[in-house]
Amino acid sequence: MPEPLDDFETALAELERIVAALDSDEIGLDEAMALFEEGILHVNAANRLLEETRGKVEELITKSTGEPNEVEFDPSEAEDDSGDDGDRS
Amino acid sequence: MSPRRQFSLFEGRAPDNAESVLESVSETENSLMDPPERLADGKDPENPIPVSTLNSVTRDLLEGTFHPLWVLGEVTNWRVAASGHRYFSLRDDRAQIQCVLFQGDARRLPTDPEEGMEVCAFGQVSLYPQRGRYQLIVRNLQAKGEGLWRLAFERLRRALQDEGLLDPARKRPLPVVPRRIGIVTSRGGAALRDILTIVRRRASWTSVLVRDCRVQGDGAGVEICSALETLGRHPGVDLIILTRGGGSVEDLWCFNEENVARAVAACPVPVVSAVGHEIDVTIVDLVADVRAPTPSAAAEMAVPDGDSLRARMQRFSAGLVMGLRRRGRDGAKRAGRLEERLRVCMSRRLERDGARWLRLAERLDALSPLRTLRRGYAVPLSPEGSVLRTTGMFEKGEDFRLRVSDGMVHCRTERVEPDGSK
Repeated sequence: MPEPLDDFETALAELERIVAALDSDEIGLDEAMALFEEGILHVNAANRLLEETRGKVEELITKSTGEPNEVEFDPSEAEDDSGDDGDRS
Repeated sequence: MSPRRQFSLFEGRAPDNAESVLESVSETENSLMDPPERLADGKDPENPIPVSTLNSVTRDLLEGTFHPLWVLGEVTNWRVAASGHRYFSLRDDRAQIQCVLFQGDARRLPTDPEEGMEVCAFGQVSLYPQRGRYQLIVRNLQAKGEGLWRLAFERLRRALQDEGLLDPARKRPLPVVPRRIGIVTSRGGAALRDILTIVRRRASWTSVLVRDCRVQGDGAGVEICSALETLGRHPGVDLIILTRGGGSVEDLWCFNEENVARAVAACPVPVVSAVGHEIDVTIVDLVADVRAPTPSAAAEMAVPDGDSLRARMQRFSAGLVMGLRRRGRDGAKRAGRLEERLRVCMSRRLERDGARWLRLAERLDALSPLRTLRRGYAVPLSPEGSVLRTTGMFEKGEDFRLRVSDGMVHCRTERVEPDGSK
């Protein structure tokens, strides 16, 4: 699957276009079928993203070399010394 | 905010410069003696005391007698020296006193007061021996209410506005479906927990990249700037949420600092700010592309709601099927088969994903009066993909494909037999 972000937003726009084209009487049957197949591809790609992709939570730390590095975020390491109580105070 | 509480923030922290200034004039051996001993001389012209002794004794008396005090007055002749120390007078309608605010203490003020502003100054009554000048060494300064905070806020807001940084035209739209969002906050804070919860619930496919930084106290502003810069230019981050939970004016103050405001404006990707509670508007909120009232609300603005996206996909599926049905009888047959393919594909998902797909599948079922036509129908397609409708379109020995309900069959024409021919 290509870059999913672009894919998703483009897929939405493509689907708008395809459904509108199918609704018009301008196009022939062959073209309609091709559009339909294309539409199904987009719907499936979008659904795959929505249902099968699981977003990761990572933390960007700076290595001793000064390079940024992504590591898995471990909330249990968190020490709340910020006095920050979110929405709940 | 009580004067007492504000002072407690600074308690025990002597201003760096104050001590050296005081020490330079007080280190005489006399200063260790009691005033009566140091003034043993001076009773007759034969044994005069030096001016420096008189002044340092007087200063010690003043400092020993007065504990640090809050003094109410109007600020006049406010002057910033090259050293960063502030010199000014406090006065009321009948009197005035010279004051000094050393640079280390001045740095902790949100901003300098305006001329004529009524303030409460906390400090030590003292004497400046070189000049013999009685003065108040000010350690902290407060205007009425949140006067200085408000003043600092207004001053910075005006400056940024004049530069055009608050221009609505600068606000960038957020991506509709971000793949990865960056969060600049304290990693242990509740704000982060709240945001992660919402992102998981609404858009579980979204990735999150956290950059930890302090969000209050001395030096927090610098950390926030550096976190914004690092995360902003990190590849794959589509937007950044800058956030912390509720707190006092002092706690939230780093979000009113000029360097933080500029770091937000300079961030290469859109920034959503969520600082404190809804009523706490900070400079960062004004500069950010979007201001959210709370951390949870920021998450809701940053990621789309998965359910409404799914509903949109359902409408598209339905729209596709409906569109094809309009193509007439031939089209309807094919639509029936393709619809069946779609239905099978969706059912497979339904088995895997359960109830989430139920609505979609039901919707598609409702749309398929045509599926009774599906059994046994197939569409022959030329290698180019056009529909072969008549025997005349087939040629012996040529390849073609049959589109059946679950895929393609590759075929070759053996014989062509139009109706009526034998």
